[in-house]
Amino acid sequence: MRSLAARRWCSLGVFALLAAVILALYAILSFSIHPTSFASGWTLWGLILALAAYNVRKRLTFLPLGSSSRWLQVHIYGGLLSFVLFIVHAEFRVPNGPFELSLTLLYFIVFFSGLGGLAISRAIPARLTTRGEEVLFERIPKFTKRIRDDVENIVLGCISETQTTAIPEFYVEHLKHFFDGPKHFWQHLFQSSRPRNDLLAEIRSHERFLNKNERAAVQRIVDLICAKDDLDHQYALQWTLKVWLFAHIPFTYALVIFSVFHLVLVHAFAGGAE
Amino acid sequence: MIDPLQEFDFRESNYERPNQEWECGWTAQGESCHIGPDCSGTCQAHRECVPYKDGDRYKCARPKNFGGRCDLGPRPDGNCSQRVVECQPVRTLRNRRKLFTFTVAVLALGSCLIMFGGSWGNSFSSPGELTLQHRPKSKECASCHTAANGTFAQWVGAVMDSKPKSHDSQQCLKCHDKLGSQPLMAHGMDAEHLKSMRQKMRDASEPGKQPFVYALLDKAARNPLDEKNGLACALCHQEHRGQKFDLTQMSNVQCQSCHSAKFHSFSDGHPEFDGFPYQRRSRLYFDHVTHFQVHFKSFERVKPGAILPRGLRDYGDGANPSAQSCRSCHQPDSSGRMMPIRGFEHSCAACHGAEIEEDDLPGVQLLALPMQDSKLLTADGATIGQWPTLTAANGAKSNENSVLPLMEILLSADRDYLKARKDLIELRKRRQNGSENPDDLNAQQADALQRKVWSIKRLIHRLGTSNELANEKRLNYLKPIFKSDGDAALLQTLSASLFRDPTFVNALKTAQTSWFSNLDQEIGLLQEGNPPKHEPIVVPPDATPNDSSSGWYASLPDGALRYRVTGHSDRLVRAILDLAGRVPHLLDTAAAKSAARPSPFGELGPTASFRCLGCHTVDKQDDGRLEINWVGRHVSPDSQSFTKFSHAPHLTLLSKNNCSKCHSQQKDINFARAEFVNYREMFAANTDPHSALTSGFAPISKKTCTECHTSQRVGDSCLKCHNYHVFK
Repeated sequence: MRSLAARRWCSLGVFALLAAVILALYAILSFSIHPTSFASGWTLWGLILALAAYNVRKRLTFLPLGSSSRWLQVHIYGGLLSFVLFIVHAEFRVPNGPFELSLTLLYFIVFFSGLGGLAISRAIPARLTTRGEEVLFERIPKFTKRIRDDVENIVLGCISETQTTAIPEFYVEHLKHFFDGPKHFWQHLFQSSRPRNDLLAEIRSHERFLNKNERAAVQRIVDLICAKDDLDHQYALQWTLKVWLFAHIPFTYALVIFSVFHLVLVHAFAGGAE
Repeated sequence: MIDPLQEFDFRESNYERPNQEWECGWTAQGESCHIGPDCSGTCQAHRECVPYKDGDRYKCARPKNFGGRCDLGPRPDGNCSQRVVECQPVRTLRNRRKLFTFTVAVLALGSCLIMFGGSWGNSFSSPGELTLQHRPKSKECASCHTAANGTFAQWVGAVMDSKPKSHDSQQCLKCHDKLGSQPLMAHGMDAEHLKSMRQKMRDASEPGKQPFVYALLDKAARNPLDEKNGLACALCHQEHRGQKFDLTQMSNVQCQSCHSAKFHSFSDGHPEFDGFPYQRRSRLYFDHVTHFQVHFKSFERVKPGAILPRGLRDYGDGANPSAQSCRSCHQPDSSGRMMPIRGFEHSCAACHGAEIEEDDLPGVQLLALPMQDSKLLTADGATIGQWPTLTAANGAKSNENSVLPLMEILLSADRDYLKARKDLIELRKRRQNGSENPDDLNAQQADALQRKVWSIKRLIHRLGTSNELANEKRLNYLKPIFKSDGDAALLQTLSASLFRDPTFVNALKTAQTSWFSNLDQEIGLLQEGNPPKHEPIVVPPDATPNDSSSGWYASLPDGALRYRVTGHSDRLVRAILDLAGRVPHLLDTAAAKSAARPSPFGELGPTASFRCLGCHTVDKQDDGRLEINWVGRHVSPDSQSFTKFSHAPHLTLLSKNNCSKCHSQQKDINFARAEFVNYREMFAANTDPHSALTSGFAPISKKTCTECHTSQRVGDSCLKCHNYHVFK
């Protein structure tokens, strides 16, 4: 069994070789009087279809079509190769026709969303293990509610035990909004602890006005704040892991549809240049 | 520290189904039920407790996940006593992504169909701006693309169709209609011609020196050459690349992608010039070597008392004349491409003008009675009417044994004459065989000669009496012979030159009176079928009225109407020579071949061979006609050859004395003489496009050009010197 690094280097080597072959073929064929765009276009179209087939493959689990992880590797390096082909196909220039510009835009949305997705799926899973408990995404609302219920129980307990309203008032004023649902999405995505620290600092600033019992209650609330913040962290990262596909998959279909029209157009209007 | 949030006890831990389409509406509040909605998105919370009947009582069936059995238990009718609040299920994230995907795909498809089906289709599908030249057509795709008139289904069909598509090229040719007869074939040439050229290039190339990249290209790409269907315009001319895009831009390697002989660059591997620029005979012959190295040097001897024109004085040693000397005769044309001769009057007349106009010669016989076989003609019983007894006068060459070209032209519509002519040629051959009785042949020859004589007399009668017609239309009877527009114009010129010229009318009248005083009566008798018998007319040897210094006069003793040329570009002589060239089969080629200087125009004699055709060369056309090159090379804007060259930009780079940098004279003066010695070649019609008279210049070598034309200096692109489209 080869190591991950070895496999990665091997895949990168194959990618570099294929990219070099494409560029060399382009360089040679551009000497010909024939436009290279037809050969590169059909190759690119075939590659895009093959890449799009990965989504179909995931549904056909019952067919022996190779492991999904292998498909993913092919999908990743095929996607990178498609960029080389696209540049060659566009002949290193930005198209200026509305339809071709739309097609280019769609390709870039799909390519860069895929590239972003690759980065996300490589970086986020590791980060998920660094903070708090790893929970299922679908269960986060339930855990959020449980924490909120725990906090509210503590707050209500304070009223009966201490006969003061300091902690309930503080909760209503500063904490209720925080416990209502997932918060500080962007801060968690970019690994900022500032909201959490601000909140804890706020609590600490009030602590000197509390008695011993109240301080014990506050300590339990602080623990729950940390748990909720960790849950928000999980939510933000897992949501990001899922949501990038909203750009990648729908626009892939749009790209395929546009490319079919493009293909028909260029052949019908080639005037014999093909 | 708090307890772990997740519990993995099967009772406490709900089974999540993110792959399902719907989820509980309370999920966001963290209160989702364990059952969840069904696949159509309907809440199923009411199923959390379905009481069952145990004996005569209903019992609660609420599972522990939902709080276990309730204290109240079911109602007597078996319904749950608890109030179950149903939710409004929501789509799962996966389902929302699916819906979004579907929406985007439908929008993409819809927008494509709307755009291509609607009136915006043209502007939407256009891949970019057109060049400025084609901009007026930018709103009508159909003016260039036939597919624009088709349906989408037809467009799809075009993708499937593997046949070559040249129909759009036909659209191009609607405007670009001056690209020759086969504009889509490679270089506008037919396949056979191209094949022979390819072989020639292959033979000229150095084997094994093909650049590596071309060898690769030959393997990787198919040769675009389609000898059957030609090449589509769009193959080279890529539109929609912006207003300022150069549609004619082609790289050297693209040019060579079709060529069988491939090379690195102009300086490295390009074949040496094959006698360039003398790829065909010069239209005007001028012996530069002899003129510069002999005539100008000894100008005093050649033209005693005359002064060499100013521009020609600085001719150096003759081999390297100054640019000023060259320019005294050659000036760039308006386009700067050619350096045409400034004309006879400017360049040649000072020395050669008098030669044409000198009047001490008896003039050129243009119309003459044949003197041949007078014995046969005057034999007893010959019915030719009056016929003069002819003698050669003033040392002029007799018009024996042949009919002059002008007469051949004028008689070419007379069937009797043509039959008689044919019979006479046949008889001559039979006589040469010597197998037949001479007396029989003599009788047949006399008959043919009589028919020929009557044809000539009818012609003279017609010329002298067709007064009712306008001068320009008198020769209209020849139109069936000279059918083309150019011929008709020549006939008109000839007719006007003859009948508007009083010297011709007078000469003809004098000749008719002297030779055939009863011509009207004789023609009448002939038409009645009663031709008169032979009546000899004796013309005194001194009967020639010599009162005309130019134009026509009747040379009565030798039966000729002679013409003194009025000067260079004499319209009549030009018209006669041009018309004679149209009917070369009528010219007496036997006489032409036997002459000392054999002109294809035969007995047009000195005028043709020694004067006109001394400088103006003759080309034989594909249809057999002879075309005299009256003017030097003229590049028509409607024609284009493989090679292009513009003199003007090169002149500005040349320093003094440097025309000879490219146009160096042959070192050996005998070269030019040898070229001129063989008059047979000189005066014969040029049938071989590669037979060159170089006018005394050495061919230009490639090395001359490669001094400047490299990629580092002024460029060595193929298109600098070559045209792709070749047409006439």
